[in-house]
Amino acid sequence: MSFLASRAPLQLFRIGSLLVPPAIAWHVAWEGTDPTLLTRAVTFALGPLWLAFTLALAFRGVRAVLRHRRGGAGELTLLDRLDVLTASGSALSWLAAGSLVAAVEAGWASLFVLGLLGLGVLYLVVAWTLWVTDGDDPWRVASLSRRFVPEHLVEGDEVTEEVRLAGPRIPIGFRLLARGRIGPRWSTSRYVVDGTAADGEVVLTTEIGPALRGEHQAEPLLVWLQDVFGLCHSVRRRAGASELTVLPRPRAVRGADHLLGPGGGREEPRAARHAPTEGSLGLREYRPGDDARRIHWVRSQSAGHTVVRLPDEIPRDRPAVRLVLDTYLPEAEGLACPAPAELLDALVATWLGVGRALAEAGTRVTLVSAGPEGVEVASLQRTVAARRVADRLGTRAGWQGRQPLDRLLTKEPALVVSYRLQPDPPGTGEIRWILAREWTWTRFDHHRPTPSNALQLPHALGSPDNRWSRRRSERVRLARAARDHATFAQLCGDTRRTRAATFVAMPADRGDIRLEVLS
Amino acid sequence: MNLHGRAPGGAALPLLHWLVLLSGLAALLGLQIDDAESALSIGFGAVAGTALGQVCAWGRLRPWVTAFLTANAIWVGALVFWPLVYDVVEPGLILKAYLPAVLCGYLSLSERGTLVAFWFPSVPWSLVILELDAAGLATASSDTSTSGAILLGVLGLLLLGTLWARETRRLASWKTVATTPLAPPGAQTTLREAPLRGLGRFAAVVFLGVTVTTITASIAPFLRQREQADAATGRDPEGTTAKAPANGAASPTGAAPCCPEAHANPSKDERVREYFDVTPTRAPRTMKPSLVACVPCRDGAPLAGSEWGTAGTGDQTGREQAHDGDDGSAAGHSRGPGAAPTEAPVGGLPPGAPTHPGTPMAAARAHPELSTATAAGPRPSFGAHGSPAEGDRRRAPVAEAYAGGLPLGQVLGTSLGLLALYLALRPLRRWITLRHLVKPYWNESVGQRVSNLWQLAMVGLHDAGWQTVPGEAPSALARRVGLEGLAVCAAILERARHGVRVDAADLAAMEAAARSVYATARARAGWMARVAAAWRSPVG
Repeated sequence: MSFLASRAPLQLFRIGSLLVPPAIAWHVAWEGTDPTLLTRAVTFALGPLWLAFTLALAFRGVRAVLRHRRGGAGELTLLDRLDVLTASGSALSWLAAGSLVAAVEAGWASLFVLGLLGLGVLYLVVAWTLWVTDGDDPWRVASLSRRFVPEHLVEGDEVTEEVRLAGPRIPIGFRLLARGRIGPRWSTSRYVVDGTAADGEVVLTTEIGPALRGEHQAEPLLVWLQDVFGLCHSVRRRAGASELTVLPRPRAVRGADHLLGPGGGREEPRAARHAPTEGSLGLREYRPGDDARRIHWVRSQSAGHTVVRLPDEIPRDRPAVRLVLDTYLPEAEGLACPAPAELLDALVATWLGVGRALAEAGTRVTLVSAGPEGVEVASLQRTVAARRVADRLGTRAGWQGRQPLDRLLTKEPALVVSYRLQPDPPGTGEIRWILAREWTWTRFDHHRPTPSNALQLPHALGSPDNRWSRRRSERVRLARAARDHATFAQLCGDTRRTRAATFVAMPADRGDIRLEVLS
Repeated sequence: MNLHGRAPGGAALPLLHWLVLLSGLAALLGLQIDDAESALSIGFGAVAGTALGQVCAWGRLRPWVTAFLTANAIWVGALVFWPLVYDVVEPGLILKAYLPAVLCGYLSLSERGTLVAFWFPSVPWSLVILELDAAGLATASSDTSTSGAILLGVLGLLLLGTLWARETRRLASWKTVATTPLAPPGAQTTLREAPLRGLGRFAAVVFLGVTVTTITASIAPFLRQREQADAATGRDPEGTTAKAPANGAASPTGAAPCCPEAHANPSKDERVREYFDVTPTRAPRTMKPSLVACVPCRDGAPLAGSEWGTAGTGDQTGREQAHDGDDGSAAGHSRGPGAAPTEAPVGGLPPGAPTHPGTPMAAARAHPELSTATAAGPRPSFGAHGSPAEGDRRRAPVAEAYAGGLPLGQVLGTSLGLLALYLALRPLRRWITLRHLVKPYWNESVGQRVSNLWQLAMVGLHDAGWQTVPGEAPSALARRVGLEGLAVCAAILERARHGVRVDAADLAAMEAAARSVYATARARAGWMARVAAAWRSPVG
């Protein structure tokens, strides 16, 4: 990461905001052509104060360097340790100094009072912050545990995040702030803990929305202290890393019976449906024990002996099927848009749904997918244990670049659930494709900026997200997401035009999936 | 309009802005009561501008829209209101108040413009403080100057309150508004608190108050005139000897001293200026003029009688003079019409001495009982607003009004006394309550006794910082706390709640267990927490 792209310029600006504006104000007051008692007050109050804080910052910097050399700095940089001002504190410093400069020029008492009070309050808070938040605060003796309720989650369940803070050290005049999320597609939770919880024990809970399928390594919470006036903050620490497993929610698949042709299972024969006048094709002579209702009286009269009808059965064309999930798309990991994850969820839901539907119909289904350790295979039966294994496979499924589709296929006939139509890999058995189209399962409205217009700001005045820098970075993020989505759509394009016996998974009502034949 | 959706964090911040503004305006009106035109103009412009600015901020209008509305509201307001108020307001002053009021009202809800937003509401405060301070100097009254310093301290605390409200609002917004999906604000359940935390916060508030008072008290003297020190040397702030002897000083001839010149040093504005160039013009009700006899002088030499006629018209009223003084061109009371040199002896006026309305002589003639010499030596001047004596004359009633009219000592003493009484009664109330929980003052049912003893255990737990969670079963609380005896209390309490019979043995066991829990929990809290707990409410 380049210097400009990092946080360093901003940190340097904020550190400078602590020293430069008062120095400017002091210089203007010192050089004033018409010195008054007020300008003298500014001169003699700010000068020593500025010097004291410069020394304090230098002292803190030296301590940080020594700590860094001892290896106790962790992930914190020198700038992290010196950067104590918030955006509001930085603004207060500049505005108070500007007020003093304006006061020297205009001579208005209110500007003098405002400038001196502003800088006085700022330096007071900064001094207190430097004094009480040096070191590893707020974690000297504290513990933070984080868990998600309920423990066993299925996709779509409402998840509650529970953060337990025990013994946090929150100095007087400070609040503890924390924010974090499980992953990019999850809601961000933000917490504010007042000083009343200092050295105590509190439990923070919040609803973070519907669970998203997958095995998640929840991002740790970012925790820091901030004074009650919002001028200074402590160093930011990461804590509370946790894991979360969300099983895929079973979804009914309509039309799965067409996947294997017009056949049925051995135990559940199904008669061919012909025209009503055609009658049955199988006939033989009556044997003792045959059902008398099957006697074909017309034929028996013409044949001269009793003839019975036999049910016309078509044998199952595939008594066993290999159901393969194609997640080979190496480029998907670097894309900064939710579309890949959305499409993957659809693929997994279709894959498991088809497997369940076929298994319910009596077909022996073998689920095949690419897992972190290689090809993962599970036999899907109608038992609960088998379904759990299948769900585990679905939970672990992710875009990957290690196992191409041909490694998942054998010479057995297979059903492949994929995101694009592609040529059959050579040396494999017959393949039928089930496609989950990118444009069907992903949404573009993620990339729309927050609604605003030329007359109004996007958020309430005073909201940090109204800042031009944040709006700009948000626009950049959305633009990149849209660009990545377009790239992803290109990646999901078919590499083969059409082929027979290809199905498309479409969303249906009640969360079901409908399979349609691609024509 | 969903105000909650638009204004997370409540209305504390805008209301605080209004509080600062209106209280400052009220105090300013008190000083400006006889200059209703200016006062009304400032008040009208300030209120209208602040309201417009805050409405625009509530509606999260962009700055250029606010600027557009502000500009157009000027001519719309002029069309609507001007026929009604054209003879009682000053349009220039309204505009001068209206424009910054809009800006500061708009910025009062912003994230980083708090200090700028605080400027306009602080201007009336600043004017009042300046006047009180000047009045204190004029009358050598420390009370008035102290009142100014106290007001400055209050202003500092209001700034802190504004910063606090701003941050509270910002955090509320931070928790609920973002471009990325946010989880709704959740709940916070406190299981245990540090028992001395409240004491620490109290100490912090006291420390903050003392610090702010110290800062403001150190600022306050600088608002006075620099010539306060120079006055003793008889030199003006520029270091040059005043051409005209100050009021009461002897003239070069050794006769009556020269009357002070209106423009002894007109090149310098000695008063600490303010955005609004207004000063109190309240007519002196009990004016104590400087009644030292003086003669008109020019270049330090008394004028001949024939020269007086050219020195002034002599028909100015006091009001006119005051206005002239405001403009910095006052002739002052030293310029009489063609009259003999004044020989106003201390204690009375000679017959036939010239009297002019509004002059010290006229006042002295009208109120002979006030004709005592006020050894008004060199006073701090107020520059463009008149001569030093003029400034003193105008500020005298202000000083009197505030020096005698703000019984801060009595109010503070009474408040502190009531507070001390309240604090003294709290341990007594707690002792009586605890005594009743252990041994009831009247006969109570067994179930109530069980409840009382459970409450006793809870008091001990609360003293040690343990908090109960709504809906938490007693047995669950006992497991969480882990204190010996609490499980017994919880078991008996649950039995009583479920209607299972509780006999005398159970009651005795409960009492022993509750006492044990109470003592153990408090012992763990430490002696300071035990002392501090004496002021805690035992119930609830």
